[in-house]
Amino acid sequence: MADLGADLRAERGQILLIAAFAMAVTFVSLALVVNSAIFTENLASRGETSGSDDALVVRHEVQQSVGESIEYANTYNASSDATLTANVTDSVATIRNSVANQQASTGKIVAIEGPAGFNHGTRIRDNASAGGSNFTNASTGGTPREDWTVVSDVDRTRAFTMNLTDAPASDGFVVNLTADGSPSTWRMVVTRDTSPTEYTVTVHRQGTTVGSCTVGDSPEYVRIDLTRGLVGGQPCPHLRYGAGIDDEYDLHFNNSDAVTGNYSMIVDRDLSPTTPPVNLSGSRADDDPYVTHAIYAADVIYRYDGPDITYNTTVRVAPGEPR
Amino acid sequence: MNDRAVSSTLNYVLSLSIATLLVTGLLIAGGTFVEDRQREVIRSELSVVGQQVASDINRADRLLTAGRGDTRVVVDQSFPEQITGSGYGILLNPGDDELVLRSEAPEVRVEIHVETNQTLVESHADGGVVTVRNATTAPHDRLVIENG
Repeated sequence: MADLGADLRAERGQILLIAAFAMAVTFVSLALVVNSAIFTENLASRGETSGSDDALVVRHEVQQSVGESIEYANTYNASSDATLTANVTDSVATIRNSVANQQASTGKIVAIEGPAGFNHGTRIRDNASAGGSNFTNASTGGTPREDWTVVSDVDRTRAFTMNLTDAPASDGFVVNLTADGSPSTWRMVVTRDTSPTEYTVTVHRQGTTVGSCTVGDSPEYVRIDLTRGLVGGQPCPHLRYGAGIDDEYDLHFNNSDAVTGNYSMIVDRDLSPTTPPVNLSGSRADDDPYVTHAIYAADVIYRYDGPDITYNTTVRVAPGEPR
Repeated sequence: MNDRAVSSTLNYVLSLSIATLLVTGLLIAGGTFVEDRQREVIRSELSVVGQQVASDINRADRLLTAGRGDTRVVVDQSFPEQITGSGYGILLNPGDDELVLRSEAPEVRVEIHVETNQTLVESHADGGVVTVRNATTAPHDRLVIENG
């Protein structure tokens, strides 16, 4: 007869023991799995860790700063291309030091080199004193003409702004671009209604009207930023300078005796003030449009080194260039 | 007299087998449950890792698009070497514009769609630090993944 007595009591319950042990192992592995799930949630909620947005923000800052230095050089000492180049190179060295110090304090290395290349252009300007003059050509071009070619064979224009008053009610002042290829024409017409005074800027493309923008409330003058698409300081969605034109174009003014004011633009063609084009003066003469040396664009090399990101590229700086 | 004490033996055997049956059932159910959870967690972790790599690819793509000329972009991000106890690999498949992530044991496969302006190059990385960079040889507007 089997002895089920006290001697074997210690060996009873092995199955339960093994089962408990196996369940313990199962629970431990379940805990590991749940832990991984928690880590997954953590990984999923990780935001921008590498800092690529910061690389672009700093790049934009550099672009703005170099753009300001180009504008400064163009405005204050445009006696020769060499002077402009030297001034912008000096400014970029200053910007390099300040940006490097500022970014180093937040653990990033930002290096700016250059400018690696300059795109010399020309500023065409008519800034007659005492409220400006009409927009006719320079007297060196013979009898002042109301319809004239400002500049021909340009690829790009930037920072093209004008302040004007006295536009006619119909048959307004026209900024006209004509190119060899297709689409070949782009026109901006400025008209003024009286009582109340209201300026209207109408844009035509290939002979078709694109749209118009109006500045009301009887302004004394209207400021039009053609390359930034602003009329009276407000964005005008129809005003996209030279939209669609891909080839070199000529820039004409029509009915330019009907408006008074001043204008300025920088074109990417390097025209010499010593031998200016026929309709422009080589130096500032009171009411004539004139040309000066200008830097159209400069390339700087930008290097950004963050903990998890490296970004090296060339930044082209051309302030006020249409997109 | 031979059939004496049979009922207590039978009782003992029956109790043991029922207990064994119950315990085995419990262990099998528990094991399957843990395995299913593990598979699910690996699937969600692979897709999260894949989405993070895809967003790194998009970051590099954005930086390359914004760059001019000779541009160099390197974006690093660290991920676990193993997920839920399994190694895994990431394959950038330009044919279908997707990242294919595959774990080893248990084998789980997840596909994440990637859309870029730049060209993608077929490349592979394992867990750990995953680097997204543009190609070092021309043309430079191609994106590859590798282990950093």
